[in-house]
Amino acid sequence: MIAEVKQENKFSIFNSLITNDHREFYEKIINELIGISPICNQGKCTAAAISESPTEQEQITDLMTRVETFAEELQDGTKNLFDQFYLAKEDFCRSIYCTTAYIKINLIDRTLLERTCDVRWWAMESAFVECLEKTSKSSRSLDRLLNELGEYLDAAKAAFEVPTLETNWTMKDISKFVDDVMAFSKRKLDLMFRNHIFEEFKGKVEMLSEQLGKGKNQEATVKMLQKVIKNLTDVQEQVSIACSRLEDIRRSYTLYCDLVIATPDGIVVANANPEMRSNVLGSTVKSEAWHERATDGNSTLPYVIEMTHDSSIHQGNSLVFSSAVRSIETPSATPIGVLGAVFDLEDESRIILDDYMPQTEDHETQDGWYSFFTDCKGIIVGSSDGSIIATGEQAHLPRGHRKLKPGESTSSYANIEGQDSAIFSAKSDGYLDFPGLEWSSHLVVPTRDIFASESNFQITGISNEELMRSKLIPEINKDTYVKVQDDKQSIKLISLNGIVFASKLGKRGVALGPVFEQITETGDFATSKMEDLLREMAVGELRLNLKTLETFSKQAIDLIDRNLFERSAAIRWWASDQYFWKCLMEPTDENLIAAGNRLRDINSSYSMYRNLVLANRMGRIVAASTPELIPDIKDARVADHLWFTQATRSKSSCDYAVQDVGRTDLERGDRTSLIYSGAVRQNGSRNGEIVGVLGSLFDWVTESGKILKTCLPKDKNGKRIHGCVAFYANRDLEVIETTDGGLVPLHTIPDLPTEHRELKEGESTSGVLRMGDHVYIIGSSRSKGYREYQGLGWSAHILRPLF
Amino acid sequence: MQISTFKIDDETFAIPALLVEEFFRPLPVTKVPGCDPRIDGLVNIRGRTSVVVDMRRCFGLPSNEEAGVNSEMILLETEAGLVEEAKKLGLYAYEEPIVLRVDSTSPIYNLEGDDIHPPPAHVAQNFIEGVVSADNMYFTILSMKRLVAEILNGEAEVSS
Repeated sequence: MIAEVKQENKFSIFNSLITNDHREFYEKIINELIGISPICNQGKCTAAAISESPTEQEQITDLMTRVETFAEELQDGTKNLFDQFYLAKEDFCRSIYCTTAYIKINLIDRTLLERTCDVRWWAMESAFVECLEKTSKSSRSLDRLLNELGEYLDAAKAAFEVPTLETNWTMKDISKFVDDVMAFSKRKLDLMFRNHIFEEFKGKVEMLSEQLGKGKNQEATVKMLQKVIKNLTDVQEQVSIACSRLEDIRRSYTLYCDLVIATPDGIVVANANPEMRSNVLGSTVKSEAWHERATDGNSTLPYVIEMTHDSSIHQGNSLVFSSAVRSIETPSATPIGVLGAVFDLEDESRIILDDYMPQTEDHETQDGWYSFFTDCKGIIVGSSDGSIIATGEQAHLPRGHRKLKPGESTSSYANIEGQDSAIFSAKSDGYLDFPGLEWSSHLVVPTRDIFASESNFQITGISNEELMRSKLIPEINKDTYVKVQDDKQSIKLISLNGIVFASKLGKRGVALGPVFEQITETGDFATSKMEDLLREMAVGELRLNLKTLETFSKQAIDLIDRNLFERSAAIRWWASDQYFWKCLMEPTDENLIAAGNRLRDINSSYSMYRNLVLANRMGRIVAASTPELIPDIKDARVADHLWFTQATRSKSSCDYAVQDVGRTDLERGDRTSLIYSGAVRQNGSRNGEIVGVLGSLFDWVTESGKILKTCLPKDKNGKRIHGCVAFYANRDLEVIETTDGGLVPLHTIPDLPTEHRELKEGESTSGVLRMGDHVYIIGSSRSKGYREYQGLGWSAHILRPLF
Repeated sequence: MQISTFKIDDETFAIPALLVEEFFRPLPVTKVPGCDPRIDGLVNIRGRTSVVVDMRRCFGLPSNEEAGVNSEMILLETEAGLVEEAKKLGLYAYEEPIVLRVDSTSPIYNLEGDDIHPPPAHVAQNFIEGVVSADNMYFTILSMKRLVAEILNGEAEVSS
């Protein structure tokens, strides 16, 4: 699929990457310059013809030689200029596309980190612990019961062998019913976890019981049957509670295909996805790595991530997160089960991989652009175009791209699917305490798009001269620009002096006139072409810089959207927690303390919250994770707070409410907060009556500040470029967080260009911004939300000074 | 006749090409204290000391350095260096070498006819001799005589 092309460190004009436009351009300049030599020779001959004076002849010859030397210099200069042009472009594209590749893998790492927190937290859910404990107990007693039942039924059969006077029954008649029931005795798991089989069994048992009732002394057997049914019904009830909790999770966090609870023996006892339930429940996952590693008694891993292929809980490739479920009384003992979460890798990869790719008018990714992830073995785990770069297959990558170290990136040219391309790769270095999965992200860009001509690009808001002086333009280009200006002047002065000289020769000098005219023309042509090329370079540089800022602003808004998606998912899930509805339905001291402790537990696992508060139906705060942060907690009323009123109007546990960044009575001083809320419903049921509201005060200032800082532009050596500013603006374009309060103060509305103010959802743009004496380039992106999280109409903006 | 043109603050002026000895990039100028502010100082060109007249200042503009504008220099012929044709045309040259500092030199044009029209009545500039047309453009011809008389010889007003 991929043929590696040897990389050249110098662009000769014969390099296949040089565009036809430029080749033509080059030919023209060189042809003109080559034409100088005969003209100069002609000039020297003319000198001899028109003047007898050796001084005059020497003067002319000298002028001509200067012109010739100069033309040669210009030829070399032109060659170097093209080299410089392509190297600069190559360099810049490498930096921007490697960054893009890295952003993609980083997005995955960030989301996977959240998943590892999720799975650890959920493994502690009491409904799952209870379910595992009860099913395990039931399973053991069922073994015994079913065994005994066999004996009872055998006895019953025997009893019926002797026809009595009262009945006409024979053994043959009853044995059919007994056999029907006994047929299930070896199917314990089916009975426990497959509802329809249990129902069938129940039917058979009822029929048998009816028949047995007609016999003598069969009460014990009937009782035995009832015991079995009771036991199974209990199991079903526990399973259903656990399933319902898992379903709650899946409805709050939409990025899971399924979630399962399995016993240490690998029997799946509950799952979240109702569509999969009949296949998954009761199936065994014992041999699967995610289960095996999580139950390993010697292991102290808080969580396990495993890539699985065709698991019994999910078809195809999937990423399963698992964590051991432990008994609440004896948390250090061997696990009593495993919680497994099947992450929807395919969907998540698709979202990330399709992003940052140029699109056609029909919103399809442009041909020749591919983005994909590979695992540590180089197997493709996600692809933006599965028909060309298929998941599950070995990626055909050049060597250098297969041996990257964590956080490292590289690029090279390769032929991919018959298309001359550049391939940019970056390897994951994990995120915070998540070490990553040793995956790499790859971006394939057609070479023609990297070296496409920029000459038609219209820049607005900045003059060529300003651009040439700006910090964006590398020193080497500035030097070349100065050199070309200088050359231009030299040619002009040589010609002017020549013409003046000729004019003083009077009639004799007439013959020299055309020579100097030609020299002037050629010189002007060559230098102005070179200026054009430099300008094109500058425009290209500007464009790539603008694009970089767009990329960074998009990253900034994406990161915050994803972060807030997690917040909106978490609040919905927590609002259904039993501690809270119990406390609100029955506000005893004991329940209030339990709810407070629960809030504290949550808060200590999730550092991004300032506070978590539980309000009753009347809008009074009854519990908080950090009560000391709230001024006058005893009198705190939130009934008129937006987060509270909106949550009380929500329809089901799938809904959440949010109060945009602003001042709140729940914080001291001027501190602003972003508050997410979810309604707490009676008995935690999905559409139950609302008994209160759970609110989470997101630590907006810290979290958004952190994200903005990571999105500030960096130079080649990874150092932040001085003078850049990143800020978030809300729906009304008011600044809600900034990296430089001096330049872009909080709560002001910066005067942005129209295109930046009127961005549509998910759109990005860039341009030039003048603020006072400063000139910036600016990239802006508006939120498009993430999954079912709508976003709050915010936008992210990154400014980079030009001077 | 040919005229040599140059720019001063976006306006194009001209002098007869025969008056030009050489065009060159600005050379370092030695300041002379106490002289007319329109005199930039002295330069040494191939052993000859020449006085530099700052044309921007002559027109009441800030100097090139002050305005941050590049400049070029034009060395004028001395009286002794004038070619026959120039003398025949009655062109004036000073006895000492003079350098004009201008913003930039521009092309040399052939005059359509030798006539120098008097400047329009409303133009009250001292150093202007008249207007010529070449290549479908009009150029203001500088009067070197007046320039020398006023700046170098310190005569307030000279009638031509």
